[in-house]
Amino acid sequence: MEPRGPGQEEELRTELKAISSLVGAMRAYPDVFSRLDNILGTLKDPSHAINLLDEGKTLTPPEIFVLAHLAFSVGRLRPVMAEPPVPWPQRTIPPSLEAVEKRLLPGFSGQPVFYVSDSYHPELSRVRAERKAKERAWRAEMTKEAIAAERVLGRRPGLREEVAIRKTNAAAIEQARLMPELGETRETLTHVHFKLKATREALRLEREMSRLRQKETALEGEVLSALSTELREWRDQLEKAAWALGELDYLLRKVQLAYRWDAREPVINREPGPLILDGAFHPRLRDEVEGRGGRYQPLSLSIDSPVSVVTGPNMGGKTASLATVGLCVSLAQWGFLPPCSRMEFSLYDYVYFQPETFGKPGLSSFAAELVAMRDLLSRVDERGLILLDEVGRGTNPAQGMALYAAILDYLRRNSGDRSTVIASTHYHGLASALDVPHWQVAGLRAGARGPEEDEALGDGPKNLDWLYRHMDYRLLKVGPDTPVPQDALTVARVLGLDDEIIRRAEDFVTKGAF
Amino acid sequence: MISLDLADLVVAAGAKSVAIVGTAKNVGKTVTMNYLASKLSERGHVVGLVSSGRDGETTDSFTGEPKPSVIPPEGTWIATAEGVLGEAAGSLEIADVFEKAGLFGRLVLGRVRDAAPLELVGPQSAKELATVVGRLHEYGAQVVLVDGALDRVAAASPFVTGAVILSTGAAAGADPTLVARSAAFIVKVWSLRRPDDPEVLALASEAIDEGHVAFLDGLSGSASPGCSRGSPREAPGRKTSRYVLRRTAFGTVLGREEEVLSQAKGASFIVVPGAVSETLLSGAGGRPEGDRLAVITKDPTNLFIRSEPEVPVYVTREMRLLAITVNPVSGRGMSYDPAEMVAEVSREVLRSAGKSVPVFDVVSGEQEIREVRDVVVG
Repeated sequence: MEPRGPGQEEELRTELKAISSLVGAMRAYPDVFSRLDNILGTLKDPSHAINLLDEGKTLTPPEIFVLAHLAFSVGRLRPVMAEPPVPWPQRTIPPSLEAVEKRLLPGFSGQPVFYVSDSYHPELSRVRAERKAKERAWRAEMTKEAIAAERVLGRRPGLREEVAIRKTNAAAIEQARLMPELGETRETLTHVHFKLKATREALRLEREMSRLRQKETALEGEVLSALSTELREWRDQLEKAAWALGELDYLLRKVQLAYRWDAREPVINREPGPLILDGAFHPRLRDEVEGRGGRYQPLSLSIDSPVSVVTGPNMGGKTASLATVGLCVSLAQWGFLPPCSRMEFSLYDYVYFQPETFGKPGLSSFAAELVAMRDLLSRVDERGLILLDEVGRGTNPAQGMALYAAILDYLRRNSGDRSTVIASTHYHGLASALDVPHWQVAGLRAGARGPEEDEALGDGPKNLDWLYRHMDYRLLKVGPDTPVPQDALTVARVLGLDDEIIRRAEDFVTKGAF
Repeated sequence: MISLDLADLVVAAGAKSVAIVGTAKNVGKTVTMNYLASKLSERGHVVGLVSSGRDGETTDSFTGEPKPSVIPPEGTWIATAEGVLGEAAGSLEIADVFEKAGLFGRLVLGRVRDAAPLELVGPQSAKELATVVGRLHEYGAQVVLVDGALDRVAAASPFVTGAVILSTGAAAGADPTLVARSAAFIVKVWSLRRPDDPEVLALASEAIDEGHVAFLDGLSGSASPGCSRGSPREAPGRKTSRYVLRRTAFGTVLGREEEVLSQAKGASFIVVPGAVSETLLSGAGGRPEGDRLAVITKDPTNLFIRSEPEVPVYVTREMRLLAITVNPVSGRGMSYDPAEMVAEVSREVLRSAGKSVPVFDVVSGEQEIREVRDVVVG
């Protein structure tokens, strides 16, 4: 499985259209989808059994069971897939394995069970019946002994059981020793142990039983070998079915996600063009936000320049926005309907996302970042969606910003309009220095000063809640007159930093100290 | 003395799953398992068999004689690893093959068509074992017997089986008194109770579910270790309760007992989701008077101790011990008087654990049942 890349627009459109129409079918026939789900949920991996067939080996009963189970699942699945007019892609429809099912699960009903049944070999039923008859005869013979022994022991011993007579009961021991039905097995400090002694007839029967057991095992081996040979002829069908079920399972997950996300087919441009997202969301973030009772703010943006800059306060969702863009594009190229209400994009050769928490053992975060940048810059000839999160933050601010600007400038000049670079930063001057579009997180809503304005100041998590509620996560395009928001000090105060420090910081800002 | 069969006891107790846990090798655990399987089958119960892990060697280490295998009666449901099935696979109706493979391959679940000797190898972890026990029930097993041992004690966890039988015998000690003492100690540990205070239990269960070592700090006036039988209270809530649940970053106490205990200040209880070591218990007991901690853990199988704990220990789920079986003959030829051994074990358990537990010798049929409480004998 591989993601689609530039030049495969048509194939991807067809795949996504198929998912879209299956979402419609799922709305119309939910029962069909849940029945398929139930069948797929019990699948066993048949690849080992198929490998054994390829290697010419005899399959063990558990391996044959796995193939029987595959045939059984296909037998249940095909009628469900054929029922209503659902547009299943051809590759997801498994070939019939009816012949395999009949052979491996003869005359069964309900859940599949594999057993080396008598019907596989004419001699098997005879040998098994004969052995069981001998076992019955042996038990009858030994029971006679047991009844005789009961007179001495006071209770009837089990046929293979060892019984102990306490040494204080010398008379019973003497009597037992004289009995032809009992054999002494061992003597301990306190007890003498006896066991029923097999009669001549019982010994003969035991030999017969053992011979028949061996014969039975040999016949079972023959059956398994013959079945393996037969299964080898169906090998390709078995593998095709297994693949189809895998494809179907994967497709159903895509359909379920699209349904849950209310996702739409994206517009896919052949030539490099704008990257437009409307109502995009990161499913895990949305779950987390809604899980704590918050309201998730979807992302909308329209990027029509090779390089764009995003700024915003801490806790303002810059990283989350980059992750959402990367996720939507990646999912679409992997054949999933992306989690957004509208998307327009061109296919990329790669998606690069380097979140803030990036690092490698043995390297400082700045060094790790530089190594990653070096690798990234070597791919300027390809089409990339490059999402950079505050590059250079780990070093001297002026030099860090200069380096960041230079990298962005290099990408802009050398990757032409092939790639899309979205770069987040706290440096407000970065966009204007490069003369590229500037997006800004809307930030704390006008007039929001801190939780103490709304309610009594609580502990940490409560203030976080306040922050979540008052932060406007939308990305807005920055014009020449847009004011630079000063949310950092508010965020610091909300998170509980001492007022005195905040006031001192405000002084520094007013004086333009930095 | 009441005459009662071990199988009667299992039936009367209504146990749907029973762990049979051996204290050592050659204590007659397999004999007990076979005995129960055949007696229960004879009485029309569908039996299921599974083992926690693998029951060591298939030959007796001393005599070199083959050790008794499990011989499941026809109609029994078994779960075992495909790698040890061998010829027995031919007499099995295979109904399921688990995806996850262990050391001996995948777990195979099937119904015995023809009684034949079989080796049982099953999952080690309590969670997986519980899943397999559940599956055996789904397929129709009415009573599932789980083979266990003290070093494979997951079988006995109340999260896996509803009841336990302890198997011991001459092989477990140098004389009947020592055998009886060691059995009594295990019974004592397995008889640990839940805390009486429902609030303590609720908070401890919460921490255990989350997998964190935690402390229960007593709010004013209730910071004495032990479980007071308090008046009924409102629904547990941290602000209004007598205790506050304080989570630590630790998932286990093993190897870091001191570090964990150094954070105990002000706590009445320490809640340990995983194994509880002797070091922790002596650490908790060695604290200054008034600052001692009681310990709460998931269930008695979490305790890895050889001596009496110095502090009260509670569990969030109790075990139910049905019976003790003894094998008066050890693998090394030592043997004791079965009646004497049965009586000795029974006496010692009553004396030291304060509990009457029926004791059986499934080999010679000796038994001692003193005042069986929660079992109705017909």
